[in-house]
Amino acid sequence: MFKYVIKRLLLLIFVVIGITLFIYLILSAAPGDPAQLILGMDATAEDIAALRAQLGLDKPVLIQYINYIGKVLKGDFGTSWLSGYNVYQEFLRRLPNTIALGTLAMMFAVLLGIPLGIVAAIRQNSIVDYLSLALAVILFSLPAFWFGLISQLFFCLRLGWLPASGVGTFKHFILPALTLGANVLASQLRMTRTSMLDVIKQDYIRTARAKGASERRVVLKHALRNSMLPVVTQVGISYASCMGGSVVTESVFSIPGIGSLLINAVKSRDIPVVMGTIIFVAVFVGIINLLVDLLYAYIDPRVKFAE
Amino acid sequence: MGNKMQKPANENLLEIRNLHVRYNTDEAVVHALNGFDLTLKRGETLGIVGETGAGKTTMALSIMRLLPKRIGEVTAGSIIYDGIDILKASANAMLKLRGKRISMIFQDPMTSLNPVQTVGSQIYEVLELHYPEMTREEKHRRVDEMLELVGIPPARKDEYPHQFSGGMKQRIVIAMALISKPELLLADEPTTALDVTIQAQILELVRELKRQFNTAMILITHDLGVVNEVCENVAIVYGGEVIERGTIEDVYVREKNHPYTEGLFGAIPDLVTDLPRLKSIPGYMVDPTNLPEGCKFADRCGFCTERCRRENPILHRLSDTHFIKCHLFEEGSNHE
Repeated sequence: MFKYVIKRLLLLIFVVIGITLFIYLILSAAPGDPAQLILGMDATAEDIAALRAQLGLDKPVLIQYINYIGKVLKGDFGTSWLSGYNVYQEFLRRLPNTIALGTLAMMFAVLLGIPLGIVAAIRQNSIVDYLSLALAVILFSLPAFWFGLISQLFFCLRLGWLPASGVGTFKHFILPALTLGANVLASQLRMTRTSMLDVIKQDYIRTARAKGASERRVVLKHALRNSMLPVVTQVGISYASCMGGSVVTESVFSIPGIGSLLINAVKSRDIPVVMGTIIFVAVFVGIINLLVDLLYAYIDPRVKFAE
Repeated sequence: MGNKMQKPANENLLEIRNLHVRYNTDEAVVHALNGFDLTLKRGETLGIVGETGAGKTTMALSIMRLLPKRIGEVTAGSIIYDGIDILKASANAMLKLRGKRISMIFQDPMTSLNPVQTVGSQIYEVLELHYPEMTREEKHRRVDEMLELVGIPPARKDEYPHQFSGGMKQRIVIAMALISKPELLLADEPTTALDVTIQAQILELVRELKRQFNTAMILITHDLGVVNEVCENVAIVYGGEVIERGTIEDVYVREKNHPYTEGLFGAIPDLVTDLPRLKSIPGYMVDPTNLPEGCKFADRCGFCTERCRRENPILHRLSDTHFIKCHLFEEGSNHE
């Protein structure tokens, strides 16, 4: 298994190179000149040309890319073209916020969604099942900005229990995590229910009952592990997408995270920032996928690693 | 347990009386068992033969009280197991019965083992559930012995089901069913999913273990040959009813048989006579969603009369052991 992990991590390097090259090409092909955007509409042609030369934009795209990657490999992520901050430093500042937000949201979604899904499945067609369906539909269809704003109004303005925006303490993250996790919770709940219902119908569950195992034991010891396979995959995907995709939540709650950094950078063609963010997200997704695969093999002994 | 009254002085281990079971599905109501009667003595081996859909598995699941929840429903009748009224017993009482006093072997060994648990732990669980007084070493020793008995090297107990062949999986299922030395074994087509050579080995194994543990067995099959090899008595099932019951001799000598049983024997290929085609029973299995009023075999029966369509026959006694549910065998009539 150690060999497998090493292999996967080495592969990740190529994945990152592929993704960054792709993004770099798209960014340079997109209309709009970064130098023009930085200097403004009334800049002179000489100023723009000078800045282009300074940023290296006058060289062929591939050379630009190779220069950039060369620097990254040396640990230099460059500085923001627009604001001049060090990309790596900015990253370190924002990363904890994004990771805290994403992780809390996932914990909330997993710890509530999976048990609710199990209960909904074993009490199929009961009132609990229908209520959980209603909850899932509501959570799934609420847009994050609305959910965020309403919860701010209620918990912050009306009740004054929680801070409305910013970061700093655990309390700051509660509402954003609920907002970001609501959607994930809904899909976890439904996915767990479906998977559990499917497993409960299997012959080996009947075998377990025929052995004299109690209903509780049948569910926890025989059905749960089998039903977790598709759920684990989905948790991995959701977790990864929390990293770069929490822009709305971040802006509603004014959280300085990776998502808002990326969006602003794309808008202003701030290539070093965009690229740095993409590299981070790619590496993170790659690692999450690896962890999911390892967990998969742990859950299901039929899964074997190709050495 | 409220059901533990004094044990009745009864040699019958199991008595099923007039059992009616139906499945309420969205599309239709399926009448799976329609007045099923059965008695089983301690240590007896009974073969239950019938076509697919005749209600054989439903009967076994009813005894275990494992009919599919919400869908399966017992509408009438009783199942008495050693003085315990199965249909009225508490859920807890059933947990103590299942896997300990009554075990079941299912049809498809490929799917009846949990894919994410080692085979050893799945056998061990039976002891864990029913023998809390045993020490861990004793339990492990029992598991090893049992595996040895069914011909699986105990060293392989930490492997997972997918690492075994179909025949080996069925041996593991058998080990699981017999490790608690049950009084009754329900074997639901234990060899149907296996190839013929493995089939013979498994039957031999079941027979041997049954003898060792003095277990009563209900062997469900659609194979008359298998019954002849393993069982003392046989019950023929059609449309959710036992339509003929007797010793192997009673039924296989073929002097007097229910017309349906005749048909079943007619459908077995014969090596001696030269037939271009097998004789099959004309028509299809009775539709369990739409049962006729009279005899359920009437539509396919060569001897069908007006009365057969009107009136469901009762079980007629031909000898102390041989019973047939057909108007032809009514006292005084002379069939064949």
